[in-house]
Amino acid sequence: MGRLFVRQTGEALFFLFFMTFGSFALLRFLPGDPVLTLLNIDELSASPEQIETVRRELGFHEPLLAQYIDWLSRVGRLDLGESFMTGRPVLLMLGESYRATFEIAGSGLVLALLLAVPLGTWSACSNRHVVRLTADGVSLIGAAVPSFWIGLVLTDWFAIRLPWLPVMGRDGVLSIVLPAVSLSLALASIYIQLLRVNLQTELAKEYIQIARARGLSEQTIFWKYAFRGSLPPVLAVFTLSLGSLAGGVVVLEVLFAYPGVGKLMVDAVLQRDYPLIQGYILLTTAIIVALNVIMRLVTQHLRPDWRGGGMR
Amino acid sequence: MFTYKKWSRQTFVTVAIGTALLSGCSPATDSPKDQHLTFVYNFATLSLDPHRDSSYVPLRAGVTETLVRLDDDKLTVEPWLAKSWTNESQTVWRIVLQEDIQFQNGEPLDAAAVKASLERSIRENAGVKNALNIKSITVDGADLLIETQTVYPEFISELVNPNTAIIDIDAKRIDTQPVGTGPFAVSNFSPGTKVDLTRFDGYWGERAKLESVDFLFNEDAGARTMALQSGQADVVYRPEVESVDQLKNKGLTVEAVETFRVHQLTMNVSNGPMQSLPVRQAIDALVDRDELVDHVLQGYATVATGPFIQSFPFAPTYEKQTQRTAVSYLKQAGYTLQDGQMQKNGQPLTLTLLTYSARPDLPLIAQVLQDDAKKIGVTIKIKQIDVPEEYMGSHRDWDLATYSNLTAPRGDAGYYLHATYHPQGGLNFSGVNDPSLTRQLDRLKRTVKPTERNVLAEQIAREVDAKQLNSFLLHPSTLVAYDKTHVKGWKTEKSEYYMITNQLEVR
Repeated sequence: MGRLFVRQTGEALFFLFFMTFGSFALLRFLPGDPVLTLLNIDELSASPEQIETVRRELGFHEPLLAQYIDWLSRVGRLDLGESFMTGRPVLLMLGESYRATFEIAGSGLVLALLLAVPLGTWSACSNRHVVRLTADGVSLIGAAVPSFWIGLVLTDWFAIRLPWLPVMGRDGVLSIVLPAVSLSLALASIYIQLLRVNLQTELAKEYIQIARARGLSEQTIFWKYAFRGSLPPVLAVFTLSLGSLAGGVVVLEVLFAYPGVGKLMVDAVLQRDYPLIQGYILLTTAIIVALNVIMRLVTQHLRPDWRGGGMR
Repeated sequence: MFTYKKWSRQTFVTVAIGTALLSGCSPATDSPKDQHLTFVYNFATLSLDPHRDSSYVPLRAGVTETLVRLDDDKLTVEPWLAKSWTNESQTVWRIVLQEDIQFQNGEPLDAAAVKASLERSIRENAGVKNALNIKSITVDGADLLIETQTVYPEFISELVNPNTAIIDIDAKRIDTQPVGTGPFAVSNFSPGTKVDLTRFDGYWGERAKLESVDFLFNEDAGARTMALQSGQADVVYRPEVESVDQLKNKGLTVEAVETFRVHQLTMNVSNGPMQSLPVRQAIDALVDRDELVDHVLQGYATVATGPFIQSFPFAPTYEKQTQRTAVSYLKQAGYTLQDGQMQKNGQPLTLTLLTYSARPDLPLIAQVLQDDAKKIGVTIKIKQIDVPEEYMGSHRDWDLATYSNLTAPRGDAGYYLHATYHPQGGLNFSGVNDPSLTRQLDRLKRTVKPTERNVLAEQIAREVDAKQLNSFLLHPSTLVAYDKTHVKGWKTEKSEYYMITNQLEVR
């Protein structure tokens, strides 16, 4: 376990370097000039000389590697710089936005699991047509209908026709309900199918029959063997979902005016806010890498016969 | 098997009931207070720093004020925190401040506080630094003496800029709780979501009628419209255009007011076919502006006759000329129709038109123009770009561009005319280098007296029109929806600067 941890950490650091330097270089080559945004060129007069002065002040004339090393050295001091858009510290802005994203993404994910685990297990264990139809129906709706559309319909029902919930904003638990439910339906569809198929596969395996023959209770067979054995693929997808959610759920964030990291990044990219984009890439990559390391360690704990996704 | 089924069913039912309870057990909002208004704005801001926020929320929310303001009816610069101003010399301005004004934290507004605030805005915002062009600020008793680096007649109008708002710079957390002099103070700010405002009872003008305001942000037009329909918002800025009829049918008021923005065709006059005046006139004649207003902007725009809306004192009244067709101009330029194409010396007339998606109307306008041009044998190739200022500034491989400009955002024509038509202008993407025009623009730069400036600006605008240096299409309107029987005192301003005011009230 220790060696695995060291190896994973080394890989993670390399990946972080690769991602941050790659994005740093790519950003500089993309069309778009943050100086024009800073100078509000759409509304305020600025001569070419004044534009060049600001460009020089921001260090854009320095070689790319020197700019990257300067940024990296500040990251080493936990200073991600200040946003071009607002002048506020990047770390503070990302912290606020991640908190908002985690509120809706976390709630959505929990609701999705609360819906998917019972429905997935029930449909895997039951032979009744109506149960399978329900599970398939929820999966199909969740997979086929975009979450923003679900959001609009839910808003129409529960915020306009029945004015129970707020249409928008981030004002307490009730304002999380609509975005979280909209998101959960889309996420649940994957887990229902995944859990059902994996459980059915596990329950059909020979060792389950042997366990029954040895007289183990159905509870023990289900929880200790079948359910546990079906979890690694679900966990892998769960980790992927977490990673993608950590990047923000931009459509829902815009629809419900929830100031998450997805919306923040769209604005940052449009305005070429380099410090904010770099900080986001660093933190999101770190989150995804950490999630992957945790997932591998948990998977190994659940299925010691698995090594890196394969069975020995 | 029965065991799993029973367990699963029980869990499912529990979860379903729990979710239902969570989502439906209590009302969404508290009962509204008396004289409370909820306003939904179409841009979100992550910082309330009045000197940096490009959404101008502190000014729009009635938290901050500037030294001068734009009168929406006369479209002239009027006193606000400054009582009056005079020219001490070509480059020195004396600003006389209003008396007995205090910030929302009780600190007095004096010349020293204004100096500190202006200096901070210059420090924090490079755009403001360029726009104000200040060399030094001196406190002279109760007045301020401001020296500009060059002769700068636009100086006073540049102080309309919301990023020059006067704040107490010693207040803590300027980015979340700026302290201004406006009728409302910030009580809470949730970045990207909303600003809670409470009435400032020590306001120097008439005390605000509203006690509190929720200034919400939502960038989705559909969601803003739903907020109004559900009664969770009182006033909504830019509701969904498609829902306007529905809102009107419900008895709500939807106001459409033309803005200072102009959608135009920027023409590359430095190379290619657009160097020829008749070709430029042909393109201008080709545009069916009424069609663009009706079908692209769905009626929420006014036809542009020049860069400025007609209510500006410097906007020329263009004489109606005999309408010539695009084809007649092209014939004058030496083009003839051969094999369905306009050709000159065997070369078909093919133009490259730039457009960009940041303003969704513009690509549609480009398509309409492409279709209209095809009908008279002119080929227009549309090229999608990301950042128009950057592309047009660094490439010359284009002939036309759909572009949108704020032409007189602070009530003076100088910014737009100089930036767009002077060889040194930051927005001179056309490559205009016309000695006669440059001379007039330089003269405008030295003319201080407002009436003389207006006359000169009008002459320049006429010359731009005569030389067809760009083609002006339309002025898009701003839409605001609210219930007139409930909200009183709302005014949709052309400048879009002043929204939450001390005159607003609810019934």
